[in-house]
Amino acid sequence: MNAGIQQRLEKIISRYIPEEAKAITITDDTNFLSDLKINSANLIDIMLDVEDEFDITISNDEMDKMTTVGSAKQMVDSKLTV
Amino acid sequence: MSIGIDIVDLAAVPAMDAQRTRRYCEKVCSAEEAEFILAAEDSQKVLWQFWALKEAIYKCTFDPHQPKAFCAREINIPIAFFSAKGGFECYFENAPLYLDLLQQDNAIIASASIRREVEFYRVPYQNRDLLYKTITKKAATKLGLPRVALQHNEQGQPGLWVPDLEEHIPISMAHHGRFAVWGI
Repeated sequence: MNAGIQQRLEKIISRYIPEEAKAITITDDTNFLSDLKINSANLIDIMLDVEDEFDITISNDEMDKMTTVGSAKQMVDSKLTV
Repeated sequence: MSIGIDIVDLAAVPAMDAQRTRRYCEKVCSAEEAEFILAAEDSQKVLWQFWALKEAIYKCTFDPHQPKAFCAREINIPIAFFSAKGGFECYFENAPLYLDLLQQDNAIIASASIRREVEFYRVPYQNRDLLYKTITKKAATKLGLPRVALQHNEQGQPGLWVPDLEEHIPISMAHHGRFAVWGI
């Protein structure tokens, strides 16, 4: 995994983490909704920001699978290496 | 559940340009809904109205025996709702549902319920603990019973446990930005 991707991704995610979950250490297993308490509306914002940041398109089916930070990283990585 | 409530504080949502609004719609709406939203004078506000209604319907129709994650684009709002006056009756999975939408202090509140009349209360939001205390206090007053406890089931759905009645009363609650709302 490209460390640059991880950093850019975490920078996007951190914009939407509410105060109550800011202290949580992010790992690949961290769930956007249950762990980071990111609301479902902001989850869409994250997807749009990721599309812009990496100049990729995320389909609705792909979006549904991006429930954890690790799955998001894998998705971006797979799109950039095609 | 028999009730679903959602709130969107328009002062707390990030501003979106026309292109981002369109892309957002593509991710959360049907083609018909997106067309309606994008043709509206204030597309962003109408988008959040749709969003709040979808969340309210999801909460109201949530089946704890067959739990499903929220997927906004799988819940379609009848466009006729927006030309109806007052509450609106429609069917979701063959069950009648009453939808309503209102705006207070730049916040959108949506409700979905199996009953026509929904009682809901909007309060300022500071933190979760304070919200829970406010809800139990208000519910105890409303029910005229001193002991009321707010509980969540395994799926995270809130309800009021009233030991004196040995009854579990479903409620719905949401918070966003400056406000929280809960309905019974």
